[in-house]
Amino acid sequence: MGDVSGRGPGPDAQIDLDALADLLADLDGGQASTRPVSIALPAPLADALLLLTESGVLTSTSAAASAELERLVRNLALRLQLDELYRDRPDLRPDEETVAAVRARNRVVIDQGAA
Amino acid sequence: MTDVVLDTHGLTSWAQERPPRALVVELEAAQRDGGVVVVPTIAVVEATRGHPGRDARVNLRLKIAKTVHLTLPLARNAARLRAHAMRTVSAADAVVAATAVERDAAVVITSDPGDLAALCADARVRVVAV
Repeated sequence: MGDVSGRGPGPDAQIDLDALADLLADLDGGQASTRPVSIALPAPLADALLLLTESGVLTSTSAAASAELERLVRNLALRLQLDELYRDRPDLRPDEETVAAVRARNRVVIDQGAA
Repeated sequence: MTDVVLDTHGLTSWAQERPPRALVVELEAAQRDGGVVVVPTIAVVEATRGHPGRDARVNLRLKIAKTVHLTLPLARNAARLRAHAMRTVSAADAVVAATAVERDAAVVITSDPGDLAALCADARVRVVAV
C-alpha cells in the first residue's frame, strides 16, 4: 500500500477512540451481523469487480470490500491511538528522520517479498 | 504488507502507559504506510489473566489490533517453522512467526529476537526487539 498518511484525522480531530475501538471489537471474529449499504464507486472499478467476481477470481465483492475497509478503519484507529499517546507524552513522538528510515527498511522487506 | 505482528511482550509493551520508543517508531512507520497491528490470539493467552481490571489496557489495544486465530493450517505452518528452526523455540513463538509469514507482515515485535529470527529465517520479515 502506498503512503496513506493523508487519510489521518490530524492531531485536532475530535473522534471518540473508545467508541471506535468498541465497534472494531464487535467486528472481531467475523460473526457480526451485516447491513446493506449503498456506496458510489467509479464505474470502471465497479465493472472490474464484477468481472473478477463473475470469473471466480473474487468470491465476494462484499467480503473483499469489508476486508479492505476493516483494514482502513483499524489503520486509522492506530493513527488516533498514536496521536493520543503523543498528546500525553510528546517526547515519544519519533522524529521524521527515524520514521523515514524505518519505512525505508520496511520497503526493502516488502520489495524482497514481491521479487 | 506493512503490518506489525506483536508477540506477547510486544502486546504488553504496547499497552504500557509509556511504550518503548522502538515499538512506537515501528507503529508510526507502519501506520503511515497503511499497516495495522496484528496479534495472534496465543499472545492473548500469555498477556492477560482474565481479570478485567488488570487486563484493561491490553484489552483496549486488542480492540484496535487485528487478532488472528490459530487455525489448523496456521498451526501446521507454525509446526513446520518450529521444526526447521535451528534451536529450541516455544510453540507460541512459532505461532507468532507463522502469523507474520502468512500475512506477509513487514515486522515482528518481540522480546525473543533470536528465536523469532530463527523461525523467520526464510521469510521476508524484520525482527525488532523490545
